[in-house]
Amino acid sequence: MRDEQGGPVLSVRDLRVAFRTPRGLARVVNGLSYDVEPGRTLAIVGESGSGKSVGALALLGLLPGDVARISGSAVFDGYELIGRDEEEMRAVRGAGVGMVFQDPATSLNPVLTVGRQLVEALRAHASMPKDVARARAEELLAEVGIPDPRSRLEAYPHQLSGGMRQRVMIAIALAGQPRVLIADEATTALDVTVQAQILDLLMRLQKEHSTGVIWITHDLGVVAGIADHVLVMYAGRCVEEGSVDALFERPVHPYTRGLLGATPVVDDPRPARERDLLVTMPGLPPDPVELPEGCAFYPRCPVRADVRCRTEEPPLASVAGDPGHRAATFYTPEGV
Amino acid sequence: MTGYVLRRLWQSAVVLIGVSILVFAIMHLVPGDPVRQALGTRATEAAYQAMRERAGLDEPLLTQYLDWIGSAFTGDLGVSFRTGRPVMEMILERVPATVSLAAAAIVVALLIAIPLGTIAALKPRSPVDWFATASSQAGLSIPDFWMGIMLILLFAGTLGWFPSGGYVGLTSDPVGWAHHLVMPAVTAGVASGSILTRFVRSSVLEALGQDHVRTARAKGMRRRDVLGWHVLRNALIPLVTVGGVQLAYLLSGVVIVEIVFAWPGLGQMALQAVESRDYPLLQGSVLLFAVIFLLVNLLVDLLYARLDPRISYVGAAK
Repeated sequence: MRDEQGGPVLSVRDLRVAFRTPRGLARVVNGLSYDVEPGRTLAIVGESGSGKSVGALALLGLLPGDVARISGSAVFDGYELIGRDEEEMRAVRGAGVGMVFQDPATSLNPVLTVGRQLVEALRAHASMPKDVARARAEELLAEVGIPDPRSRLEAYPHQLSGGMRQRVMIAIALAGQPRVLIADEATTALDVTVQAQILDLLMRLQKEHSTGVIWITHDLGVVAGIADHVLVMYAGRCVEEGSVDALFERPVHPYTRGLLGATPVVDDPRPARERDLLVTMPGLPPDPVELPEGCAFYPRCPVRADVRCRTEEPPLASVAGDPGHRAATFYTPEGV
Repeated sequence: MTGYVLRRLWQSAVVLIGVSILVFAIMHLVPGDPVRQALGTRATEAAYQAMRERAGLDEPLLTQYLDWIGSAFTGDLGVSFRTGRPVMEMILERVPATVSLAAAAIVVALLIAIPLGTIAALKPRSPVDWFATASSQAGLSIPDFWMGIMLILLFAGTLGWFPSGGYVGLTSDPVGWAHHLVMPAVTAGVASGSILTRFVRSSVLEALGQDHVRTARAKGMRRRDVLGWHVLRNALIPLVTVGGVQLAYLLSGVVIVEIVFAWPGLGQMALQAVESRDYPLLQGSVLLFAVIFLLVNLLVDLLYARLDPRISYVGAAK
C-alpha cells in the first residue's frame, strides 16, 4: 500500500487560519508552506502562540468550525484536505494522518479503559469484529513497549504512569496506520528520562512504517536529536527553515539566533560565568488581532533597520549557497 | 466497598437522630393543641385528658422523645391523632402513588433535559440554544399549580384526553395507572427538567472542550460515537448528583402537584398532617423524607464510583 515513489506525502501551501474573536479577526497562521516526506521528520518550532499547533489542527479539521477561517491548500496523498466536510475529514483522521497530543493525562478519556479507546480507534476505519480488534489492540500495546499488554487493556488511564499513557496515545495514533503522524508537543509533559524513551520509540516506529512525522515543539534540544528538516515559526509565519544542520550551525534570522541562544547547552565550551547567563529574548510575540505592518518580529528584533523592517514584510529567501535553507529577514549575519 | 456502605449508613443514622430531634422540637413549638383539634370543641375534659394520656403528651418532653424514637427504630411511628391508624401503615399506603409519580416525573425531566441541553450545548448561541435557555427559564418560572390547572383545563376539560385527577393502582389497572399519571408527571417533571436542562447544557459544553474529545475526533470516529461515548458519557457523571437531588425531592412528595391532581401521595398526606396538627403522622412523614434523602444520596455516591473509575471508596476510611 505504501507509496514507494518519491515526493512528499503531505504538501501544505500558503495555509492561513484566522479566528473570529470579539476584538476582531485573530490571524494565527499566515501563509505557511511545507512538505512532509515519507520516513522523514519535519520539526515545527516556535513559542506558545506562534500558531504551530493551530496549523496542525487545521489540517485535520479539528478547529471549531464556527469561529475558524481556514484557507490555502494541504494535499495529502493527492487529496486536498482544506474545505472538506466533517465526514470526508473523518476518513483522513487516524487513517491518513494520526495525531499525538501533548498531555496524555487529559488526552485520554478518564472513564473508559485503554482497551476500549484503542479498539475504538481501530474500528473507526475498518469494520473488524470486536475480538479481532482486541487482539490487534494488544499487539499495538506490545509494539509501543507496554509490558503485559493483555491486562493493560483493562486498565483505566489514571492507573498508568505518564510515560505509559503517552505510549497508549501513540498506539492509538498508529491504530489506523497513518502515513503522516503529527506529534504536538508529544514529550513536553513528560520528565526527561521518559521523554528520551518516547523519542526512541517514535523514531523506531517511524523507521519501521516509514511514516512522515511533523514534530511540533518549542524544545530545540529535542529537534536537534530527531528532525531532518526544521521550520521556525513566528507570529504564524515561517521565519526560517532548513536542514537541521544548516539551522543549528548557521542560523540567519535574528529570531532563530535568539531561540538558539536561549537554549542551555550542557557541554558549553564558554567560561562558566558567561555560560550561566541564559540569553533571554525580551518582549512578547505580537497580538494576532493587531499584527504589525512590516516584519512581525520588528518590535523585538535586536538588529532591525528602521524604515524597511517596519513597513515591508521580508520575503522568505534562500540563504546564499544553500537552496534548502531559507530565511525571512533583511539582515545578513557575518560569516553566513 | 461494604465497609464504605456501612460507614455511610452509620453516618446516616447520626444525621437521622439529629433530624428527629429537630422535627420533634419543631412540632412542640408550633402553636395549637393537637388533642383539642382532634377531639373538636365539644369534647369533655375527661375525654381530653384521656387522649393526652394515651398519646403520652402528659409525660416530660424528653420521655416523649425517647419513647417515640425508640419505637421508631422498631418501625412503630405511633398512631395518627386524626384517623387513629398506625402512622407506618398510612405511610406505606401512600408510597406506591408517590413512587409512581416521582419515577414518571424524573423520566419526563430527563427526556426534556438530556436532548434539549445537549442540542443547546452543541450549538451554543444558536436559535436552538436560545430556545432551550428560554424554555427552561419559562419552565422554572411557571408555578406548578398554575401549569397543573392549565393542563387540566386543556387536556381534561376541553380535549378530554386525560382524567383531571386521582390515582389508580398499577396492579389493579395498568392502563388507567398510566393514563392518570401523565399530567401530574408532566407538571412535576417540567420544573425538574428545566433545572436539569441548564445543568446538562453546561456539563456537555464543558465535556466538548476536553482534550480527550479532540483525541476521539482525531481517531476518525463517527460524530455520533464521539458524542455518545466521549461527550455524553462524561457529561452525565455530574448529572447523577443533580438528578439524585431532584429524585429525592420528587420522592418526598411534590405537595402542590399532588393537591392539584388529587394525587394520594406522601406530600398531600404531610400537608394534611400539618393542617390538623397530627404530630405522629407529621413526625413520621418528615423522618421518612430524611431517610429518602439520605438513601438517595448514598445511592448517588455509589453510582458515581460505578461511572467514574477514578473514584474509589476502598480504603477511603481516613
